[in-house]
Amino acid sequence: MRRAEAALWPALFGSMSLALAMAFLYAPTERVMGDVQRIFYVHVGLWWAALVSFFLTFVAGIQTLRTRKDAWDELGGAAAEVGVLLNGLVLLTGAIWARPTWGVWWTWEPQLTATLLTELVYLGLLVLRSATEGERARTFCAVVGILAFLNLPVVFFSARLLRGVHPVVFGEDPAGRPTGLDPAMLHTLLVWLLACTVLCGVLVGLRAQLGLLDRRVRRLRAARGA
Amino acid sequence: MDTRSGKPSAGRWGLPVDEVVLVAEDLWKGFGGRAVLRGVSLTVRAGEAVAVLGPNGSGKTTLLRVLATLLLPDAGQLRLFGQDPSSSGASIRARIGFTTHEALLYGGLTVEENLRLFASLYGVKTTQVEAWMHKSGLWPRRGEVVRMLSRGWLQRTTLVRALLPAPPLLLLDEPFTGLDAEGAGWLRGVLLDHLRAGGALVLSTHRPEEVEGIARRVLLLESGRLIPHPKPSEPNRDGQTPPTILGRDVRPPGFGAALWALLQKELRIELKTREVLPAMGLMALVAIVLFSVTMGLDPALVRSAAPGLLWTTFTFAAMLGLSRAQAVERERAAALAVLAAPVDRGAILAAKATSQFLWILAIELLSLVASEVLLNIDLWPRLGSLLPVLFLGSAGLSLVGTLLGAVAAGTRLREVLLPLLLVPMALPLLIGAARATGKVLEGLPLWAAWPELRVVGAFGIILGAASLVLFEAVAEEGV
Repeated sequence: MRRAEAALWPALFGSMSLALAMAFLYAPTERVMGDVQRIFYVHVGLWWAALVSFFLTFVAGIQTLRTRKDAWDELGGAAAEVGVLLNGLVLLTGAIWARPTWGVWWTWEPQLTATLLTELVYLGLLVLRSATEGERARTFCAVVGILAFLNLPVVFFSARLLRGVHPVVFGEDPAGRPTGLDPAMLHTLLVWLLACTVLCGVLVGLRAQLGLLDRRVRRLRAARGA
Repeated sequence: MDTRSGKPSAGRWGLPVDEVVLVAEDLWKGFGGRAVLRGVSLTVRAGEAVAVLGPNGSGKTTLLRVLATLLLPDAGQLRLFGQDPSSSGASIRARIGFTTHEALLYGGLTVEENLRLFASLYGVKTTQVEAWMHKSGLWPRRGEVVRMLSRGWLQRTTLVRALLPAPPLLLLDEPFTGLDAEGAGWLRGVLLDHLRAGGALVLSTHRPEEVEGIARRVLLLESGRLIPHPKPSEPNRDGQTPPTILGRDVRPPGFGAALWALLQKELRIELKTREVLPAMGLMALVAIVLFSVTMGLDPALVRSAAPGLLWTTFTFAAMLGLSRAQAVERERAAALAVLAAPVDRGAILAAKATSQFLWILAIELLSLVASEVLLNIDLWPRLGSLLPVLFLGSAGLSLVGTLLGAVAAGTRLREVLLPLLLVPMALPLLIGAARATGKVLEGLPLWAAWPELRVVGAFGIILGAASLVLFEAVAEEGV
């Protein structure tokens, strides 16, 4: 376990350094948007890592209800917190990208709306977590974490009812023309996805460990006070 | 003779004499880092009464709630009637009569309505309700609303609710509290009859003299552990007349019967108290006026914003109804009594959600009338196309809202948490429903709103099914 933890830090710094280098030195400059397009790699990488976090919350929720173990509860809570942080950064990087590209910080188009709705749902989960104690907190957060993840596909489908202007990276654009990335851009994106997944793993792991330590301290204090 | 165990059987439940009814081993339970139970072990046999003494706050209520399977222990083993409560919950709950220091009754219903409700949830015949009301002296009070009862009569009603199905195991939390001398005499007689008939009893008290002549074993709950009390009392059950056996034929209801009984309860409470619908209706009206005024009363703007305005209004009104529905369950901890009954927990959620669905639908129709009059939106010719949208939207909103309402009710922030949980979660439904409503109001046929209806339907099916499954976990937390 300790060996795995020790390996995570070099993996994080290595993958992040490589990803940054590829975004600035390896990937070509986009023809229309110019250098501002390079935020795309961070933006998509964070979005992917946020989805991984929410999936972890879902799995941890099921395991919490099955096993009622503190470790699963802490993992679920940690993943939800990290997911909110990463998803919030997706919104922020999206706004930074949107301003020079679309001329506005925000527009009600499907992907943006879906990301915002997801953020609101998981923020609600964090408020719930802070407003409940003990076993109830464990059960309630597991239940809402499961519901929130099951709701994600519906959120994305509902957002597609709105008019879209988001760039289509894979598949076809609204006019039916095939879209695709330059191979160098694709390689950079894949490295960013990997780096952000490692980042997500490190953050969730650290936060869950902190939560478990906090529980231990509270138990020891209670035992001493009794 | 009990053919399986080879022991002589006795009592109305056919439990072999000295059969172990309850075994608790090393139970631990804490709240917010404070351990209330610290390794409680207890064995109770058929025909045996155990009294648990302890001052206020010693954990007696927590212990009884854990034994009644209404609270999960943090650690330790519990077996009731030889079964694991986690795998055979309903069949075990059917054999337990539980009271706590709260009444566990619906304040807005009469004594008789409450007892009839719980009789149907335990599959007890209604004739037995009447028999118990006569026996307990409640008959003259049967028409009184529980909220208006004195402490003593409230306690008798609570006890009769627990005794109605004649369960083989009684878990009674300070059962003599509030009873006068005559009431205490009646309860003492009932408990002795129960023990002579082979039933088991665990009762808590902080007054040892109350259990003299009833309890064979007296234990003290101190610092979260059970220790023998220095002065155990012996039961005195000789020379008494055989008990009148009530409540023999108990068959817990199925899903449909439980749902119907609980739905009737919801409708009856609303008919008697008129607390939810008028408040929701007024909220909807206020919201429509507020939106219209803040939009500058521009008819064109109001008309174009009408779908969003209507669904925001429905959501505000629905949240009011959902919050109130949970408040009704919290009053006198009535929900706990329903959760203690041997009914499918899905039926509890379904009944609550069905009543909410009916209230929301009623408010939607009222809002359409108000919009027709105040906003000059010509809705009635399109009502046929609007109804499926309203049905689908209300169904999803009420099912998920009821689950999240139960979650919010179990937190410190119950007043504010429901909107924070429900609105973001229901936004896909609201986007779909508002856009479908917009298409219908534009005069398009219903099938033109198929993509939107698909989203609303998917929300209802996915989140609704998940809510039904997950409610069991929420119910285990006693909310």
